[in-house]
Amino acid sequence: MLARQALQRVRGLHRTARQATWILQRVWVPDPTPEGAVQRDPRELPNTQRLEVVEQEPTTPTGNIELILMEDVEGVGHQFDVVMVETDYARTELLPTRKAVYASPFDLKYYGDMKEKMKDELASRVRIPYEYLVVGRQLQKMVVPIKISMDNKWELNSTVIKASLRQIGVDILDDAIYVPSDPPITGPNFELEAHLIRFYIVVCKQFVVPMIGIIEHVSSDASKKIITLETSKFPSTSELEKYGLRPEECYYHKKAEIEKDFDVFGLMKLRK
Amino acid sequence: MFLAKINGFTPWGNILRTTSAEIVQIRGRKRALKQTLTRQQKLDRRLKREAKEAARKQYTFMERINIRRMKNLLSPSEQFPGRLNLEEEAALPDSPTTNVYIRSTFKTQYYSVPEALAMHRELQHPSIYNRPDAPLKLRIELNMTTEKQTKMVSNSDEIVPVPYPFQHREKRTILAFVNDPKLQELAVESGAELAVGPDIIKKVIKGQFRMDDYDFCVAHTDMSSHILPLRGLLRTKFPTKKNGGLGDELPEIIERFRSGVKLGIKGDPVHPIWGLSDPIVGRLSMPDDQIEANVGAIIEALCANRSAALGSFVNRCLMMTIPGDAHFALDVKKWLPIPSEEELEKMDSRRGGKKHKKKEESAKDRGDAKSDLPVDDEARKQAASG
Repeated sequence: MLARQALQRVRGLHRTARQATWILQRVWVPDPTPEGAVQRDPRELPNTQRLEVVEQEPTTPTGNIELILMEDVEGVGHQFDVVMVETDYARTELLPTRKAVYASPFDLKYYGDMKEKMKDELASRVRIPYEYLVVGRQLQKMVVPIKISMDNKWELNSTVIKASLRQIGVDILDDAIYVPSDPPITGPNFELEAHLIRFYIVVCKQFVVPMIGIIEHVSSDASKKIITLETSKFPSTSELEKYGLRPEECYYHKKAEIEKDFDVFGLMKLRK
Repeated sequence: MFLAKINGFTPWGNILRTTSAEIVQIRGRKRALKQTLTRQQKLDRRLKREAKEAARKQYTFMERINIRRMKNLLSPSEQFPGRLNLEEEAALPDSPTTNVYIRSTFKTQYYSVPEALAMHRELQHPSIYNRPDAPLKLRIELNMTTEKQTKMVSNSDEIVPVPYPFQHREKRTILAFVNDPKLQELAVESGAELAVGPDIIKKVIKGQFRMDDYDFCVAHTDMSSHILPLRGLLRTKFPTKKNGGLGDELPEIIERFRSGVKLGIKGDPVHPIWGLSDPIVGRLSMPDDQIEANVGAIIEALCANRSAALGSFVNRCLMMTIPGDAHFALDVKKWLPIPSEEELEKMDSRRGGKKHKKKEESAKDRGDAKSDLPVDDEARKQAASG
């Protein structure tokens, strides 16, 4: 579904360059030419040159078209997959860039054989599922305000971060959050206010997304409030360095085996 | 002189232009002042002026400014957290495919009461907001349409007895109508603000006794015939057997009114077909099953305000804490009433008359079988499948 939204967005960009099909018909239909006679010149009468619009293509949906992908296309499929794509998207995006070819009987057989031949190579490729990528990208843009009490003792754990994530519209169904535990971050400690903190979210036990949180002390008492600078921008590398962090990329593990006791922090450190 | 010629006209030219030669027309006004007014006209004018001043005095300066500001604001239904629109999220996928997801990229997820409570408890935990005993509020979005197109479900306030009462810390003033002086004392002892007999009822009708100060009224059965003239004045507050305000055991009734949940239905002033209700259902520290039982009782009582055959009264039911922005949509389908065949048929015939028949005929002409279904039914089916 997300792929489809992406398609629609792409389609919007190319609206100006699209082709259009017009179906026309004669306004005045001349009598058929009698057998044996020579056809009259259509330019002879103005009426024979008058046409009216029956249908213009954009009024009807263009439908889908079958294509063979020549390379991995995000949100569409992998190399040599036979896929159904919206005609518009195919004509403006996939076909001109040679990312796909028409699924003609010859091509189907040709690329089918090629897929069979390259089976081992294709299987060895690391392919991250598109849903994971989309979620990972959206998550990586965020700086999560981690809300913790300024009155009571706390220790930063996955439950606290889960609640904070829920407040900014990210839901997590299981315990997939990995928080620095060596040493554990505890408080209330106002020196930690507005500190950036690294934690990891693991999508489907396989896709590790590095996240950045900012500590925010809150209280149910409305008269107590800490005023900090608004952090609408994602912190730069130099800002991250102040807190001993560095920019990190998502990591796709080969097997879905990242459980609760898995050392995600050690793994991400090794990737440096 | 030379300069003026360069500019194209002489210095006197300005005087001759129309702008500097305006003629002030004052004759007509003077004539009107001379005209004598009849006494009737004077009286009319005075009344008009007084009415205008009264209208101005109705609100203070600040209130007037606030009203003007309010007009530019969103309607209560559209204010945070907004109203669910099924059409808006029709293109979104139903349920998440990954264990981590962005909420806005999927259709609204509905939670059971224990699930929603667990999430609220995480947020109100001592290590975060530290309100483990926060009051729980339902924000129920309503569909206010009735079988008549121009009529909406009316605003009302009622008390719903809940299976597990809790401390709501609301002030509720209760007026008791009792004939017997002994019972009057008993009523006051058990928590009524005032217990009155038939003599006061006459005063109420005359307007010498203000009923606005009392939130609820209860009555003993011995007064049932005396209070009948008050029906028009009290409207929804009028004690009846149906709303539980009329009975023999006054202490019991008063206790129920004091401990029950106040359920108000408020129509949206901007979009009359929408409404809101935000009853308090319990406290976060209560056990899950008790809160669930309370929610069930309240939703069932709420749905009694509108015919089930019209479709679901509840558009979406959110569980929130006070204070707090976190909200989770509750799955309340199991408490919604299911319309019987009879009710549906009745609704069809009541809606219909001539118009309905005409519609049917035109539908048949078009060969369109679907248009027979009421709109709300279709929406409900969508909601059920979604």
